[in-house]
Amino acid sequence: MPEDSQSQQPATPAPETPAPAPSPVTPPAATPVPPTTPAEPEMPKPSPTVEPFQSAGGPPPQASEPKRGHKGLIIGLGIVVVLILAAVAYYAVSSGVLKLGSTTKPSPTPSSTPAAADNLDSDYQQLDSSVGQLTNDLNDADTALGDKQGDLSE
Amino acid sequence: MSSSILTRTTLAALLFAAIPLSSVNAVASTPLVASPLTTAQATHLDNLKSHGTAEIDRRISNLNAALLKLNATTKLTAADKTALTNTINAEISGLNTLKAKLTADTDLATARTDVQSIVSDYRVYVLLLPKTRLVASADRFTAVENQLTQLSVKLQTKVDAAKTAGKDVTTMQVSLTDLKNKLADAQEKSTSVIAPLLALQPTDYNQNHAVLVNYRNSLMAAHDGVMAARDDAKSVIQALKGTASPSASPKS
Repeated sequence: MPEDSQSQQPATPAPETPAPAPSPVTPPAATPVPPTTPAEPEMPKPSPTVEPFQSAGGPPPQASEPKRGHKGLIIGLGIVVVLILAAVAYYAVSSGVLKLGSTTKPSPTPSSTPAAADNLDSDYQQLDSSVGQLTNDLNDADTALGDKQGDLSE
Repeated sequence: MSSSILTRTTLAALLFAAIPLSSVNAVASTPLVASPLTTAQATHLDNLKSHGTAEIDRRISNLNAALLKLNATTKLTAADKTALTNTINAEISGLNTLKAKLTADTDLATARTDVQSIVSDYRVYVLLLPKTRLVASADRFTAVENQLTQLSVKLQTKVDAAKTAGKDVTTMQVSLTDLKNKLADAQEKSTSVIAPLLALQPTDYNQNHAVLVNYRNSLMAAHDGVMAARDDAKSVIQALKGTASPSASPKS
């Protein structure tokens, strides 16, 4: 849709200049903010009213003044939309909802030491558990050594 | 002349008198060997058979239980598991053969010998089952010692890093070196007992009833070394945590 509007602009020389300005803004705002798209069909409407003034040598700035206000409004809306999107994105990234990648994780250097400590703790706990099982095995072996279990004396 | 006649007559009389005695003894000894068992002897033989059969069955049952444990364990090496399994299966087979022989015994002496061989030829309770447990323990030592080795490598890396960062690692390095020494000693003690244990036979026990004691003592010493090495590892880990900067170690 924006590409179509840009292709139509060469047909009318005077309003062409304001038309390209909103076009880069409209793509991100197309889905969340619908009002930007209906503003474009309104652009060709003033152009027929301007032509008589130009032909009559009348003051063209008066005709362009309402367009500048409209253009500013669109730009402002675009900026607001961009700011809102940026704020939402920042909130999403900072809260962890949106993960952009491992390189954006904060403070890799300070977290390395606790992680290593946790790893050592885990290794030690596994070792401690194995030593406990080893102790049990030795106790079982001791029991077997002392347990003749025979009515016939071995 | 008359005295010589008297002497000859006396000798002839003695010889004549001895003939019936020797013939009676010869006749009497033959029926004693070939005679069937008395009732008391037959009862005694039956008791020996039933008692021996019960002892054999109990041993076979315990050996089968040991086989199940062997098959289920994951700590034994494949070679040790195979060696122990073969030994136990051979004992089970031998005991079954002995059971059949004992059942067929017809005299007390043979039955007594067979019952005694249940103990002396197999030594299930005093040698084979304890030996199996000791070998299993020795193999578990290997697993624990591998864990300790890996942990000591990690700890050495951390200690070296701390030293590079300018931390005082003197105490840590002392503990770590002690860990490595204790580990090496435990490895030597625990691995050296496996092959001799597997090679032990009932005859070895018959010659020396304390044949397992030295191996057991070696494993206990290795156990003490492993415990000390574990404590060293703990102290190094705690020391490493102490050297971490406050900002870098928020974990309590």
